[in-house]
Parts: sequence; C-alpha cells; structure tokens
Amino acid sequence: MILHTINKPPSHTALSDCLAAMASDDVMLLIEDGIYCLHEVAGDHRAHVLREDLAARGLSGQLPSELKCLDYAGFVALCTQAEKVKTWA
Amino acid sequence: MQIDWSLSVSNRTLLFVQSHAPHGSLFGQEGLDAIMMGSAFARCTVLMQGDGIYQLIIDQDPTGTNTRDYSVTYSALRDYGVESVLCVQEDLTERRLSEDDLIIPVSVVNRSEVPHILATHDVILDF
Amino acid sequence: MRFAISVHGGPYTSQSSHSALNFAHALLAEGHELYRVFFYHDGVYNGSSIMAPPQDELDLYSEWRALAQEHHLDLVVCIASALRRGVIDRTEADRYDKAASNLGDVFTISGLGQLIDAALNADRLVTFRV
Repeated sequence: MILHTINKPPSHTALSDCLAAMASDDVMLLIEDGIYCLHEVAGDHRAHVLREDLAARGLSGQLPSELKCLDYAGFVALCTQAEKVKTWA
Repeated sequence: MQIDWSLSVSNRTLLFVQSHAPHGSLFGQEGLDAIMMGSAFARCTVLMQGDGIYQLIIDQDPTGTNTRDYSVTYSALRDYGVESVLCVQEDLTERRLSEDDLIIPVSVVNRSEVPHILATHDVILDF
Repeated sequence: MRFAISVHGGPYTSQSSHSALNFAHALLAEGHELYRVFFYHDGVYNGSSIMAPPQDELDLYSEWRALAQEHHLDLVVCIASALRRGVIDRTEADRYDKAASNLGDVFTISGLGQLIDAALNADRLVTFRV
C-alpha cells in the first residue's frame, strides 16, 4: 500500500496523474494547495485531507462528510501504515 | 561497464521519478544528479513522468538561454548501471512525441502499468 | 519507525518548508526517529542563518535550529544545490574565496550521497515538494 500526497489544486495535472497511478488499496492525502481537490475526490474511499491545511484555506465547512480528515499526527500514522510515500506536485 | 550488484551496498531498489520539464526549472538537472548518485549504491529505475519526458527531447540547444543541456548526461546512465529508463505511452502521445524524438532508448509502458512500477520498488524519490 | 525527510521548497516561497517542519515535529512527538532532513533545490535556503522574517512570521531557520538541538537531528543541505545558490559554511567560503558564510551551525553541508543513504536506511522517505 502506497501513500500518495497531492499538493496542487485540480487545475494542475497532479490529481489526475495521481489517480491514474493509484492502486485500489493505496491511500491519498491532500495537503497544501491539494486541499482544493476536496470536491474532486469526494466519494473516493482512499482519500484523506490534512486538517491544518484545510482550516488554513477556509474550507473546513465544505469538507464532504465521507472524507477522512487527519492532523499531522494522522499524516505520520498514515506513513507508517503505507509501505512508501509517492509525492505528486 | 558491467555492474556487479552483489557488491552494491543495498538490496533496496530506488525509483526516481522525473516530472519536470528542463530549462524552466532546475528540478530535472538536480534530479539527474541524484540518480547518478543513487546508481552507485542501489539498483535504480528512472520513470520520466508527465512533463519529465521533455527532458529527453533530442537536439536541445540552450546556448541562447545559458541553461545547461544535461540531456546528454542521460546517455551515460547505462554506464552507471541504470538499465531501465521508463516513460508512459500516454504521456508521449499527449505531448505529440514519439520515441524517435528522444535522446536515449526508453522502455515505453502503458499508464495502467504505473501502479505496478510504483509498487515494485522499495523507495520512490520524486523530482 | 525511522523517518527521513527531503525538503525541496525554499522558505517563504512555497509551503514546503512549513509542512516539513510540522511533519518533523509530529513524527518526533509520536516517538518516531528522524534519521535525517535533507534540504535540496531551494530547500537549502532553510539553512541560511541570516534570514530575518517579520516578527509575526515563523522564523524557519530558528525553528529548525531549536528542533535539531532538542532532538540531535542531522540537518543536511546538499552541497551542489547550496553552493550554486549562495548558501555556504565557513570551509566552503574559504575554499571559494567568498567574503562571508551563512550556513547555520546545526546544519551540515554534504553531498547527495546523504540523500541516497537516507532513502536506503530510513523506513520511510517523505518528500516535501514545491
């Protein structure tokens, strides 16, 4: 299982590149400007968002209810659960 | 040059992913430096992903930009023991490129094979 | 678990350095080991001891310094990236006959081998890109 981080908004190719490279049991974490992909990944059970970056961008109220929201400790934990980390930027 | 992998320091495999076009930033050039270093210590694969494939276009001439043409350095990777430089067919097609436009022979894979490539290396280094 | 971090973004240009610092704090707080932080590309500017951000902004250099001293961290700036960008220690300043050096004392300047070593010897390599 691979953790994929995305730090670019949906106007960038990072999200589509990531989705094309993800296996069904991989997980994804939106960080930094990747937060703006939250609506695009809504409904994808593999998707997580970083709470601090979400709050900084004023979008906590828009978080789709099914998306899992993690703080930095959760980010670290996700790294330990995954075998490796792939960064999309 | 033959590399005796039994002498290499690590059994872990490294996947280097180059995703930036050349000249507009230094990510590709400094990424290639890391690949060269990695090849001394471990078995390495290079994936030219997305815009990264632009780094391999043949006949780059940066004399007017004063940036470095490091594409020629890719030709040396085989001597460093890097046997596999991969690119994605869809990335080529979307950029109106073919293998004939590239400075070195590459192994062309389908986009659907990328998850397997990521899964079968121990560490991924992104540039 | 043993982590390594690679930082690609320059401080105050992208969020990369802030994210890496937060991640470093979090993993240490969780009891994990931080094997090395390798600063590459513009990330090497994190090692500049003469940065002077406004008082209401995070001083990234001081933050790295404090974290390194508390946890005895190995903070490495890539020598090739650093030299071409003007981040140098006293030894390199002498070698290249430069008037000043700016690399902070908790940082070391070293080669890309340190990144490869971190990739091979840490359990997880986490890269913070631009």
